[in-house]
Amino acid sequence: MLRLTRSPSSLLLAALLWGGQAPDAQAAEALHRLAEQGYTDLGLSEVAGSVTVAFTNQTRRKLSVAIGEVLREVAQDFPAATRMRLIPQTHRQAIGFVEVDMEAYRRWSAGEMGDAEFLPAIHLQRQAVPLPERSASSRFLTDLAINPSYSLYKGLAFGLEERTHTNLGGGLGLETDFQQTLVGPAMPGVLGTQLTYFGWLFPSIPSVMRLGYFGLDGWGGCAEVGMPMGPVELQFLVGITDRTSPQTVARFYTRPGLLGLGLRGGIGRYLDGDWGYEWSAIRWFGNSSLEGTVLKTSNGVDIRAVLTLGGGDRAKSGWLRVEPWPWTVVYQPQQWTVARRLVMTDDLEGAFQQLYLDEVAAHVPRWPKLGK
Amino acid sequence: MKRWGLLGLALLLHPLEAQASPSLSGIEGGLDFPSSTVSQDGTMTVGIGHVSGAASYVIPPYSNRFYYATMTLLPGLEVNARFTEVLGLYDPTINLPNYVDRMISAKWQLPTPEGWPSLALGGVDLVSINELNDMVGLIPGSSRYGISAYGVMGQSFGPLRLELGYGSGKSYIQGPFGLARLELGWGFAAYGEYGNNRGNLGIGYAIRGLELKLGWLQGKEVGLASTYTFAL
Repeated sequence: MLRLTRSPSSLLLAALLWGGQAPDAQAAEALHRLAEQGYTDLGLSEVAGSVTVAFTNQTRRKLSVAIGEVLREVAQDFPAATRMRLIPQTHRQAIGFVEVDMEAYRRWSAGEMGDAEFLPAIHLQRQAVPLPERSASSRFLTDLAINPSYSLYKGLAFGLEERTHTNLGGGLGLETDFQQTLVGPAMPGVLGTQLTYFGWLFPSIPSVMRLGYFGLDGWGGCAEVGMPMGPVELQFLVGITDRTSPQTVARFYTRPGLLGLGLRGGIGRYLDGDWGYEWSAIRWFGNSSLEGTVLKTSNGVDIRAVLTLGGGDRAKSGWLRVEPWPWTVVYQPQQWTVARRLVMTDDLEGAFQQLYLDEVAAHVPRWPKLGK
Repeated sequence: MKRWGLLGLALLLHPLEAQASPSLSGIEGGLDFPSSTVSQDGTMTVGIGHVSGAASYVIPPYSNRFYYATMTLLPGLEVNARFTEVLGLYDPTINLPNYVDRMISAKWQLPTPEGWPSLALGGVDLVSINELNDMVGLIPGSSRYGISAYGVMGQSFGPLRLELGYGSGKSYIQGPFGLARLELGWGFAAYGEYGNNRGNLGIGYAIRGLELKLGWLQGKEVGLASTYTFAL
């Protein structure tokens, strides 16, 4: 079992186990600072002035902000670098890369270049890319949380949630999830376990697959793939369990690039065996979002709205979710966990979308600058 | 417990320096009547209020206690979701001590050139869910007042802001109305309103996103509200 910890001696030991060579001082220093800030699955390589750094963000609520933070931390130790390639990961799979011209970055940090001038020096691409040679993988993560919730009709409740994730390599992972209500309406504990795959079917087509026992939904599996078509991404979802009807849904997703809006539409067959279509509109504000969905099927119309409130950039502040119908408020904290949290920063599955990476450009002004 | 819990959780979020001023029912305005402005984009206001007797909004003369959330869904578009308890009116068919009403209202501040009076159009009780008499579902105007549509225009003159509007509804906002707000300094503001054959006076105090308002409504009833506004 190999897990990147926060102590320099562990970092050195891990590097020796990886490649039999001690990392140079620059890389070790940068990786140590990033590990101290909570980034995981770190890897760094430098070839002829071009630096590549891979990471998994479990620190910042938004990946777009985390990219800026990682860029600044590594740039401090490579003052002569000409280009930097940052590779964010999800489930230890690269979701693409962000390439930055370092001369432009240094000038932008010094105030010699404005945000609009700096943007062309940043290139984003969503595709499978190789990770740096010295990438480490956190093999096992576990998390325990107590989530308070309030419902108008059920009152106050406290739920316990315990999750584990074991990395099996190659994008495969084994996950377990147990939920139990501690205080509130009596509900039996629910245990689920599933084999997951996050990866690329082809260099530019991401996929998410799950097979296992989904608790209340029973045994089954699901698969989702995404195909970029310019400003729109097409998504296809197929799912089946032994307690529900097969679900096959085709969706499109787009971000107009205006007011932080996202639009989603879908058509297909849903879990009750009903056919229909759906529309969703999402608006992102800073660290919060509001999503409304209308689902119309042969069973009727379902309208849902969820307001997700996040306080601050740090993922540790947790989420407050408000659903007007049936008037439920749930707080999912980060700081109450007793183990390393599997942080849901943004939407991990949505992170495969090119359009999601495009949000990085909108957050460039919030990136920290060198020396600050 | 739930009232203080709601405000307590809201205090975890970031307060605003630019102060919004919701009315007693949560819509940006004075006491009873809406103004021609909306809150800053990307903000949310949560609040609790109480209006007594004949001045209540739902099934007077039963007093109302309400909880609301108001947010700017898009720049210039404010949406208010209000949950009202009608105190003392018990319906045994639902598992709540008081009859409840849930409604959604909205207001759109029209874009106007800098220096011009502000202008807004809005509607109260556009969508409502009423638990009494099996009226369940998204039914517009099912509170006692029904849908009230209005237009309002306003202008500031130093510390004084004047609003003039016209409403068309069953009884909540019916006909012309006027609203005056005077900044008194140190976070205090005074309010005066007249419309729909009723006059209201009140005072408010605001500090770092938190606002308290107290009103003397129709010359005989009391209204008060506490709100918190924060950035999303």
